[in-house]
Amino acid sequence: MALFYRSLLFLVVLAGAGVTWWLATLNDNQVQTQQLERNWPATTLYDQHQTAQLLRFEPTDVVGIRLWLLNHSDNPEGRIFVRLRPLGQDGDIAVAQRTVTELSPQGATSFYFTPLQSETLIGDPTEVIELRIETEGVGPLQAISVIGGGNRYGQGVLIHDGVQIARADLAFDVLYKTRWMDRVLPITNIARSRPGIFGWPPLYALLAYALIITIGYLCIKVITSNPFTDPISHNQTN
Amino acid sequence: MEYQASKTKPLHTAPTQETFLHTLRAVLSTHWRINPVLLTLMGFYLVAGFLASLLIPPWQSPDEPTHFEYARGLQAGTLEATPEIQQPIIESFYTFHFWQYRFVDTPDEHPQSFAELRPGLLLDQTSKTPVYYTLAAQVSRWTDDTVLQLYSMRWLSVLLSSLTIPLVYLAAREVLPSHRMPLALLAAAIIAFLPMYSYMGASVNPDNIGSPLAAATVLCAIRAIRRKQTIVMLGMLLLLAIVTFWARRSAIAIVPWAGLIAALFAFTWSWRHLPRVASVVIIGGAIVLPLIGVAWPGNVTAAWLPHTDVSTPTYTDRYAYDGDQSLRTINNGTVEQQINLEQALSIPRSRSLAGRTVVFQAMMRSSSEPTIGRVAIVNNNNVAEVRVFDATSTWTSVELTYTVPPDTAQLFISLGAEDSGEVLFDHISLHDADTGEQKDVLSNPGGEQVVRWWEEQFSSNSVVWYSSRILQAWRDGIYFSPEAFALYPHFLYQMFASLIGRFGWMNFGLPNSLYLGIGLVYSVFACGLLGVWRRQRGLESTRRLSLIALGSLVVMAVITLVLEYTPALGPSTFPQGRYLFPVLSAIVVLLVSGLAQIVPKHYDRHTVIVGTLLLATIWLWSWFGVIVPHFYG
Repeated sequence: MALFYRSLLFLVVLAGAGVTWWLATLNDNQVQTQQLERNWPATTLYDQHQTAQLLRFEPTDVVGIRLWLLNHSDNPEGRIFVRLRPLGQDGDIAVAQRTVTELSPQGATSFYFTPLQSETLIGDPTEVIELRIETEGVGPLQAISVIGGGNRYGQGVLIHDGVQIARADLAFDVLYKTRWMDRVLPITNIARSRPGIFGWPPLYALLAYALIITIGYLCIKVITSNPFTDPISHNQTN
Repeated sequence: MEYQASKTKPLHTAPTQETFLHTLRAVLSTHWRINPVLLTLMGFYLVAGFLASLLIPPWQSPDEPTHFEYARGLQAGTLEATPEIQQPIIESFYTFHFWQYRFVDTPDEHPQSFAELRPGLLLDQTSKTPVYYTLAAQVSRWTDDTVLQLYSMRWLSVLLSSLTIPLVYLAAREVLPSHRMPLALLAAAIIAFLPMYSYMGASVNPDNIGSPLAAATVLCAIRAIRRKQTIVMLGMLLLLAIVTFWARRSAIAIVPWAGLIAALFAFTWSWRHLPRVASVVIIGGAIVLPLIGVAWPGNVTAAWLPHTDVSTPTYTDRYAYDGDQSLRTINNGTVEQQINLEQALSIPRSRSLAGRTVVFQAMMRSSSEPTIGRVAIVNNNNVAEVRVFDATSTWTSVELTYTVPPDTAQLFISLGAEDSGEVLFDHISLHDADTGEQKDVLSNPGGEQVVRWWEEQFSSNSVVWYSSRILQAWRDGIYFSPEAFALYPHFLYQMFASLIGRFGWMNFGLPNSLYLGIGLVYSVFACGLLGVWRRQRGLESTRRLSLIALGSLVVMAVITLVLEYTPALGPSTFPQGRYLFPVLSAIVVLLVSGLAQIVPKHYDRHTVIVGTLLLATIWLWSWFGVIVPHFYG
C-alpha cells in the first residue's frame, strides 16, 4: 500500500513538472516597450513615401511590432512592410509584411517576424533601431493613416520622408515572445542572453518547481516524520 | 568523532526495494548517522543555491567582476590586468545591464579595461590570498564562455557555503542541553534560510570558503572546551584558525580568539601540572612577550613617517626642545639619502579643519652647521603651501599659516631639510588662527613615540597596516569623538541589515520593518542566554564555558569591524554584515541556546516546525518578492 501511495505521489510530482514545463512553453506575447499616446494621425502613407520611428529597446525575443495603421479605403490594395534596422546600417534585422486589407479600420495591427536574438544586432544591444514603414502598390487614394501621439516616448523621434517630426512619436508596441509562466516568474527575462541551456526559459520554471518540491518535502519531513529521534547518542562527554 | 558511531545498530530498517537512494540513505544513516531532516535541509540549500546562482544576474554581487578576474588570472598565470580577461567581462557588462543594476551611468565610450571605469567602481582583489581563487580557477577550466565560467565558480561557492550548515548543526548539538537536541535543526535552518547567506553563497566571493572554515574552527573550539579529544581539537583549532584567516581576512578575529582559548588551556595545564614558579614564569612570559613585541621601538617615529625606507633613525636624543627626543630630517644632497618626515592627518581631523585657517608652529634647529629647513602642507595630494626657514644651532620658532580649502579630504604636513645638513624639529602644534585654540590633530608632536618594531618590519602587510591605523586612530581619540559616537548606531544597523539581507552591490534589500522584526526576535533569543546561569538544569559547565567563548568571539568580531571602519568616519564606509559570516555559526548557536532557555522542552517540536516555516517564508519572499522583481521586473 505504501508503495502504491509513493508511486502515486511520484506520478503527481512528475505531472506537476509536466504542467510547469507546458506553462513555461505556452506563448503569451507581452508588451514591454511602447508609446501609449495614440490620439493623432501623424502622417498618411502610400507608395514612394516612408514613415519611420527611432527606437531603443532590448532586442532579444522581440517577435513583432504592433502599429496603429488605419485603412479608410473601400477597395484597399497593396502591401505594407515594416522593417527594423540599426540606425546608420544598411541591412534589415527583421522584416514583416501584411496586406492593406488586413489592416484594422480602427484598432491596431500586429506585424510579426522571426524572434530577434541579441546576436542579430551588432555591438551594443541598446543601440538605436530604426522602425521603417513602407508600402507597395498603395496609391494616394488608398493612403493609410499612421497614428501617433505627442512627443512622449523620449528615446527616439518620428521621421516622415527623412524629415524629423520632433513633436510627435509613432504609436507602437514592441511585442516580446513570453510564456504564460512569465506571469508567475519572469523566466523569459531571466533566460535572456544566457548561454546554452541557461538561455532556455523553461529551465527556470522547472528549477523553481524543484525548489518548491524540495521545500514542501522539507516541511513534510519536519512536520510528519520523526526527526526528533536523535540519531547521535548524547553521552559523549569524556 | 562520535557520529561515526556504531555500525551494529542502524536506526532505519533497510527497505525491501533496494534502490540507489535507499542504499545511500541506509549507508548515511548507519555509518554517519546523519539526521534525515538535516540531509533534506542540505538538499534544499543545494537546489536553492543552484537556482540562486542563475537568478543573480552576472556580476551583481560585491566585487564579483574582480573576484572572477583574479581567479581567471590565476588560471592564465598572471595577476596583471590583461585585456584577454577583462574584455569579455566588460562585454557582458552591457549584455547583463551591469551599470543599470548598480545605479551608475553607462560610460559613453566602451571601456577597454577596468582602469577606464569610474574610480572606485571595482576594487582590485589580487592582494587577497589565493586559496578560494585557485579552486575557482580549477572548476571553470572546462569552458571558454565567460558566463559559464562565472556559473562554475558560483556553483563552487554554493557547494562550499553549504558545508557551514552541518557544521553549525554539530556545534549547536555540542552546546545545547542534552535533552534539547532537536533545536540544533533550527540552528541549521537559520543558516540555510538566511537570505544574505544564500545570496553570497551563490556568488563568486571568498566569503564562501571562509564561512565553513570558520564554522569548523568554532566546532573544534567547542569540542576542546567540552573536553572531547582536547589535544587534537586544540591543534585543529589553531590550524583551522590560521587557515581560515589565510582564506578570508575578514575572519581575523578568529585568530586571537583561538589563540586565547589555546592559551587558557595551556595556562590551566601548567598551573595544575608544573611547579607554581614555572607556571608563573610561563604565564607571565606569554603575557609580557607579546607586549614587548608590540612596544619594541623601531627606527622611525610614530605618525611622522619618512617618504622612503630608511635605516637611519628619524629621531634623536642629542637635542630636544621638549622631552627627550626631537624629529630628525636629513638632506645629503641625493634623493636616495634624503629623509623627509610626513604626517597624514586622520581623515576626520582633516575634514574638521576644512574651511578654517590654521597656524602650524614648531621649534626648529640645525644639527650642527646652519642650513635651511622646510615645512610643507599637502592638500589632497597637491602641495598647497611651502615655507623655508633658516635653521641655526639654536632652537627657533617657525610658523606657517594656511587656510584649509572646504573640499579638503586629507591633509599632510611634511618636514624636511631644504639644503644639505640635518634639521631637527620639536614641539610641533597646530592652532586655529581665529580662536587660538590648539587642535589636537597632530600625533606625536615631540617625536617621543617611536614606531613599534613590527609596524616598521611589516609595513606592507595589510594586517599590520590596519592595526597601525587603528592604534593611530585610538591615540588621536577618534573612537571617542562625537563624530564616531554618532556613527556607531548607524554602523550596527547597517551591519545587522546587511547580515540579514542587503543584496546586489548592497544597494537594495528587505524593508526596515522586517529588519526590526527579526532584530526584536533575535534580541529576545539573546536575552534568553541569561537563563543559562539562572537555570542550572541540563547545562553542564563546559557548555556554559562554550557559550562564553562563542559570545566573546562575536564581540571580538564586531569590535574588530567597528575599529577598522571607524577611522574613515564616513557613513558610507560601514562594515558589511557579511564580514560577520566567519562568526555566523557562533551567532546562530548563541541564539538557539537562548531560545532553548525561553521555550519549554515539550515545545521543541513545535518550535522547530514554526521556526523552519517562518524562515522558509522569509527566504522565499526575499528571493521571489524582492530579488527577482528587482532584477527582472
